[in-house]
Amino acid sequence: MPIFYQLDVLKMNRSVKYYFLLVACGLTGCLFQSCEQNIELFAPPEFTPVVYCLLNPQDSVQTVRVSRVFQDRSMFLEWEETFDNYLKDTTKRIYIESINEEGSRTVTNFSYSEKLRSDNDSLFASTDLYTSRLKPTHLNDYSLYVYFPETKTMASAKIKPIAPVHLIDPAIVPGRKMVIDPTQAYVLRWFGSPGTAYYQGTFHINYLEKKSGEIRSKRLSMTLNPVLEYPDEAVFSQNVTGTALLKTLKNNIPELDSVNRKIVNLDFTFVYGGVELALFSNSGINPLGLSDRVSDYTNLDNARGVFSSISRLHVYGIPLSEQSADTIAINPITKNLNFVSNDEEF
Amino acid sequence: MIIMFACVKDEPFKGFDGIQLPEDHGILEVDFELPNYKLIQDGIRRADLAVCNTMYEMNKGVFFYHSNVSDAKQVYQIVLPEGKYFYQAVITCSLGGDSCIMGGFPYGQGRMKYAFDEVLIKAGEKTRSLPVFQ
Repeated sequence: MPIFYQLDVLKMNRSVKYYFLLVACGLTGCLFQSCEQNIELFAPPEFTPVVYCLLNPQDSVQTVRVSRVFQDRSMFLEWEETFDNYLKDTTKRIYIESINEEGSRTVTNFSYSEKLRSDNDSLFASTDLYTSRLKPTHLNDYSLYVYFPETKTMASAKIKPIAPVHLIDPAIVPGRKMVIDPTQAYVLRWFGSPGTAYYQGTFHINYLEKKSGEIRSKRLSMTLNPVLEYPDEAVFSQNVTGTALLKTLKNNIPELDSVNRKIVNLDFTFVYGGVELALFSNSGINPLGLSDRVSDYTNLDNARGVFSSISRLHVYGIPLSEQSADTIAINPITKNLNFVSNDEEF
Repeated sequence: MIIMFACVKDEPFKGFDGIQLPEDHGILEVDFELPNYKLIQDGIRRADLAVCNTMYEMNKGVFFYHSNVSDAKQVYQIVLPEGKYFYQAVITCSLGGDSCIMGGFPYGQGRMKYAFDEVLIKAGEKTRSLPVFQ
């Protein structure tokens, strides 16, 4: 056989092979195409699932907030018509699985509590609250599962709750009084705990207001900037300047000639939360903490939001020094608020 | 050399530990160490650190300056105009029941123990003092 004929046969065989390969690919493509069309008989509504859950180790009732955020009003109305009512049947749709140190697992189901907001706001969101009896501990791991039946998706996240934080200052000690003075700062101090990275204190200033012989108790809150710090188990501190406290009084209490005021004492609330909450707060969209807006941070799979833990400490009745009462009475910032000095009659 | 000397002269007076001192002021540094009561060490707390001008004012309890004291802080610095001052350091025992007395603190819960000293503040200088509780 001549050598050029052998080459022609080889070329033909190769082209036949390519032909069959192309036919096979085309048929396979058609098959997949038809499968895809069958599934599209049910078109899921388009929304962003949003889940918020902050476990509180001090509380025996925990809550999960579930939202569906629609970008399009017609989509929202269509979804509301089809799915809204049957979401109340939450059996096994929202649950937390706790895993203790020995590895044994316990499941806690959440039940529908209330609809938080159904009004059509700018985001077209539907928000529902679910509650369950559960007292978490920092020794266990917790996995949250939220099932969205419309899209047949499960949102989930896993955390270890925060351990208790030890607050050093402020503290109630016999004879110790807090000094509000523009020349010195008051220093908050605390020991961090494992998993904790979000800390925020609030002073509540209690004072009396006397008008036409009638005395009323008043309360003014001064929330400090959150401290987002890691690593844990270290001593943290935050300075609160005397000027900041005086300016809070000036900016929140009206100047009235006919009114006399007297400082009583201060209360202090200290909120601390997990690393996830710190990242969430620091994500830019939510600089002020939790809000109804969708965050750009999430630690949930298949949803946006946050699953973390939060706890609170309270210190009641922090006495103020006599020097502080005098400072508030005569300092140019607060002088016009008519607070009495230490030796003045109220 | 002349240029360098001029630069040094023109710089404002700097105090200690980052504190910017006015020219006629000095620093009172109080090393507020808690006395050692072995059995009730956690119960002994700092209650007050206050400054006045005369012994008479101290006896009357009239102080022009109080520090925000803490159990976590031992050394306190107070900026004062130069002159003679008196300061008072106060501790208390916060344990319940008879724990304070049984542990060697001479009083019950919430009662105070005082230490005081006279100090001379010189401009641009740090005067260190250690209160001693009897």
